[in-house]
Amino acid sequence: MRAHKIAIAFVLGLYLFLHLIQLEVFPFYLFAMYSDIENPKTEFVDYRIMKDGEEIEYKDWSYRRYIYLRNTLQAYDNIISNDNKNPQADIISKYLDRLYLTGFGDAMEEKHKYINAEQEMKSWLLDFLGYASNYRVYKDQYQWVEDQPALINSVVIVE
Amino acid sequence: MNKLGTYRYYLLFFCVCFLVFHAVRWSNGLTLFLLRDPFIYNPRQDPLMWTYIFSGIPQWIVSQRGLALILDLVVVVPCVTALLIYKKKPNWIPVLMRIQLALFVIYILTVFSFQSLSIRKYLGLALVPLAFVSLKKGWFEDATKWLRWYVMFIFSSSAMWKILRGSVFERDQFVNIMRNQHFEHLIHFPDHISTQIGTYFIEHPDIAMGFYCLVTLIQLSFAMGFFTRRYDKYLLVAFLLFILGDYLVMRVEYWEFLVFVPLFYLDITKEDYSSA
Repeated sequence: MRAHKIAIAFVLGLYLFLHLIQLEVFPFYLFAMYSDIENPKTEFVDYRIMKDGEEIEYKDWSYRRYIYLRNTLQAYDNIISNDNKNPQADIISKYLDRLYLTGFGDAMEEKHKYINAEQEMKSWLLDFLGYASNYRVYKDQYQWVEDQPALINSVVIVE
Repeated sequence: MNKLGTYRYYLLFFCVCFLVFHAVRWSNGLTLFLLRDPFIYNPRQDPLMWTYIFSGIPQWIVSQRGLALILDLVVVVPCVTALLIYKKKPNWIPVLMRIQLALFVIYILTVFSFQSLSIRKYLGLALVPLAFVSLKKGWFEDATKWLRWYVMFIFSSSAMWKILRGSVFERDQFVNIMRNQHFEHLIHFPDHISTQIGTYFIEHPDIAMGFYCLVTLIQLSFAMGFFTRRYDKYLLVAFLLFILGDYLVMRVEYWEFLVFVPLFYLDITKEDYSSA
């Protein structure tokens, strides 16, 4: 019974600690979605894929599959804009440096560097979306104009 | 329903939910095999995930297509077996559920090592088997009690974050969320009901603000569940409305949380389930 209570106290203490330092350890997640104050954005980004010159339409896709593709493209975009390193991994050194584990943090972050990001992205698109002789991915920038998104710029990020 | 019936009922409910949602995952193209050898990790805010990715295991699993496919198939075996033998071999259930727990934890940690969906929606499917991993007297009751508290915690903590960070007091909070979340829906899914609802909120900021406050209040009301079960039927309605509303308004799919539903109405008292 005593061991039971210690186990419960440990779990609750761990969860409280994770809340205070705002980290998560599976399965102890923080449920803080949509709680950050959301500032109005002026520009938005969307990704458009041309497969052999034809735009891929998502209307008939399952939404979850679309989110998986979108998240992957967004992460890829962030990587190529950040010297081929995934900026999501910056959190690793942020915490491990504080624990004087810089070397370990650097080794962990190595996994999040992508030297051949574009080539890997092309291979993955071929596999995920099916064979095509050419894939081109556009990063489209939008602004809200009268409660509707309006395209203001477009650049190719995979070719 | 008698006490043994309660145990069996939730076991069957869980197994059916798990199999249905695995089929859904398959149809959505999000099983390990269908992720198609992803290469960009998502470290999240989770040191366990950092370590798991560092170990090289997730990349190894998804790059071995055969292994990924085997895992996709094997992960349903404990639930299928439990459905087949729960009457004849009840003593096998704890072993099956321990295997289920271990397999599914590896499975979802691997899927979520990459740029997939939010891992939170799968927590129910990962944690509910804990209720069935032992036939020791009182285990099922204690485990379901803790799981129920966990559900109350999810919602009340979500409300507390909004209150403590002050977002619930910001007039344009929900309109800004809607604009940020729905702009791509307007481009790719203009006819979807969530896009229509999102557009309505963007055009009516006061109603959007009221709605956000109302949702926060409803989430906060789950704190009552820590102290009494008297209002569980109302909380169940709120829970179901929340899952439906999340889909209709945010297009966030939390259907997997339905595995928690029996926690709101099962009558569980101390009982020996060894003959379940």
